[in-house]
Amino acid sequence: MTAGTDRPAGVLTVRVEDPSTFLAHTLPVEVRDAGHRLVAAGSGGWTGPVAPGLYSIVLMGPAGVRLTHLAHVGAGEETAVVLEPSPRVEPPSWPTTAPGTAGGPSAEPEEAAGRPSTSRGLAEAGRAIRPALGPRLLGTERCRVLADDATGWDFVPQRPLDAVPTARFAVGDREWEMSLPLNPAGDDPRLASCRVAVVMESSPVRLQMSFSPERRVATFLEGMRRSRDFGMADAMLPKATELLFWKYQDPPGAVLGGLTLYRLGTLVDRSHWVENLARHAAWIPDGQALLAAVLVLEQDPRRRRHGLDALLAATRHRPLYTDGLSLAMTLLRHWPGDDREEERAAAIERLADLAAYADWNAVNLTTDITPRSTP
Amino acid sequence: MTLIPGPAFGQPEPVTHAFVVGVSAYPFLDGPQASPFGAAFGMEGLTSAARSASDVAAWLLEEFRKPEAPLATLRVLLSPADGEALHPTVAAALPGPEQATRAAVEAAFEDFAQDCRTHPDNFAFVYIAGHGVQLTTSASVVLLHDFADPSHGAELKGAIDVSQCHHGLSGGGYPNTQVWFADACRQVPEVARRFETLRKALDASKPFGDVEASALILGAGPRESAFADVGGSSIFSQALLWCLRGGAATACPPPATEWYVRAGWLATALKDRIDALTGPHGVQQNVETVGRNAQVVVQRFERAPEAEVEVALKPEDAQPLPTAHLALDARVPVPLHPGWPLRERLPAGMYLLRVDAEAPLTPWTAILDVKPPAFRHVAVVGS
Repeated sequence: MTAGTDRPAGVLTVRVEDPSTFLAHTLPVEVRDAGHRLVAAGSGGWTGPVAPGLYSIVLMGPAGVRLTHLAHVGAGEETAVVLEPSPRVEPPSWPTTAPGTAGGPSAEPEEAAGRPSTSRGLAEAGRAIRPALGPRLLGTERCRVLADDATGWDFVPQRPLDAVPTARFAVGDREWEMSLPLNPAGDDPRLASCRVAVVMESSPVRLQMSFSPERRVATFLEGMRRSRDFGMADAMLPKATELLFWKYQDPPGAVLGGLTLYRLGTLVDRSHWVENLARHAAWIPDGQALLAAVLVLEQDPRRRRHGLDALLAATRHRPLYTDGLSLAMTLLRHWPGDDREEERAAAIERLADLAAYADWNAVNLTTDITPRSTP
Repeated sequence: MTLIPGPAFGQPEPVTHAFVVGVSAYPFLDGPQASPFGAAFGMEGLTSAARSASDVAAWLLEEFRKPEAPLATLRVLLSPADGEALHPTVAAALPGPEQATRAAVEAAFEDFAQDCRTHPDNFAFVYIAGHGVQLTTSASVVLLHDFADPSHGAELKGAIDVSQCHHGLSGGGYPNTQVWFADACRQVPEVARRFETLRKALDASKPFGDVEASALILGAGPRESAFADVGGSSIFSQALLWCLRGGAATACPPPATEWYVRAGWLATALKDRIDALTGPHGVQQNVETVGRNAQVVVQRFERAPEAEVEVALKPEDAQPLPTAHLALDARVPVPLHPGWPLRERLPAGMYLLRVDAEAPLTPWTAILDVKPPAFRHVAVVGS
């Protein structure tokens, strides 16, 4: 961009700070002038001469939501804007040893591990007190509670996993079952866990899952999925998703990325990656559904059949994400041709009880399991 | 006959073709015509889906601006409830009453699709409102006027599968840019469960397409509160029109001086607006976006849309009365009406506000990022 010629230019410097090197270097930044016209766009920051005046700097933050900072750049002045989206808090008291006994693939820790946390969940700790008659944890499958405080629960997985871990809660007069995106490959609990927080601000009180703050790239995807704001950061989604799989070995995070890419119509060019994901994370049915979504486009009938096999097998288990359930239902309903129609109908019937009672606002599959009186 | 010609009817392509459906009346769900199949769902007719659709149709006729593809055709099918008032512009423009039955909707949709296909740079706009069943996060079925008609059998024949129709127009020569909205009233789980395995909804499905950008925005509101204003319009349609009238507008990249609403940001702004409308009532309405959408331009403005700006003073009775100065881009002074609170109608943009105050009051300076349709700010000059 060029600064105006009638007045001495100023210099605007925008820098993004985040414990994750990947996010700090790739989070998209936009600079808009007083007329809201885009004057510059960058990744992880931007520096350049600008005409004196007012500017808005918009960042797609690490929590997957947009943040805006307004700045006044004077003639001949240098104005620095540092976007540090999350308040820093004390690191959480995680245990030093990983849970479980079985070995797993060694995950490369995200840069955040061992550094001060910028947790949303933990940042909120102390600001709310769970009422005595508030939400209760009723039980867990394939996971255990790592911490239980005033605002929620932290979970870690049993290892190895052969199916999606779940937890059951009572909230008011309802009971809910949540699939939990725990990562058995995370050697450090901080890279394996997730949190279910009590959202006190809502009425009625509800529960919301979030990845542990150290799973920052997964947190970014989760936040973006929750806010439904994909426009600004769609270019970095493929890289973030592949990074989660290959480098951080976080299959639940990678599956969420894959589902987001599918939603945005950009998964089809990544069949090789999807096949790897489905193979290495066979315990996540959503990965099999993603594989089916890619293979349904194949010309080779044997490949399509393989996709349908994967889809039908996936429907025998509880999905991890709401979008995974959604994808499986869509593919079952609209698989081209009459292939195994009865089997597909039976699979729809199996998933229908989840779909009808799913909270479509939740990122992780959350279903109402309140005992129902039979008619 | 459901076709309302737009300003560009008969003009050279590319143009915009619009398809709008709103169903409030469901004679086979309740009332004297209710069928056993329909009555078993325990659902009642709606009060404002047809009105909402007519509001959107009126916006298309009166306010839609997209010079690269002006409105050529608008197909409208409305089934209002008894006493439900339609937007007068649309009521006057419709040649005659035609209920939004499966047969009528199917015929109109085929004509709409055929028109759309005549030029790849055409723009397709679809809005469908009524009782809905959100089958998944990316799929929504909207029930039509003759849902549960005994002649249909126990099937979903009187319904339109919006997401599959969206898929159906996603390739094969259909417009490269499209935007679809489903404004559906969500069902309780016990009812939704019954819909899961029903079939035969109107479905223009082909597997997957290759159009450049086609956004499907699904709104699924709580059962009755999605249509909160009885006799009014749905929350989704109110939020949508708020966004299209400038609430979701942003400036085009330079050197253009226009503003536009793009689908990518529209979806986010819609959710924010719906949250703002529903939040005080403690209800939640879901908004989902499917498909490649960022580049779809839905509406253009010749210049920055205007916003109602109000700047209040705190404390309200501050004395001696502070003086306000407002400057666009911190350099172009804006004449202000005297007195507090400041009330001005200003083009969207960023303004520097300076409030001069004498001790013991303190001066106040702030950057105001004014966005349409309304902007509020409080200048604090004392406790």
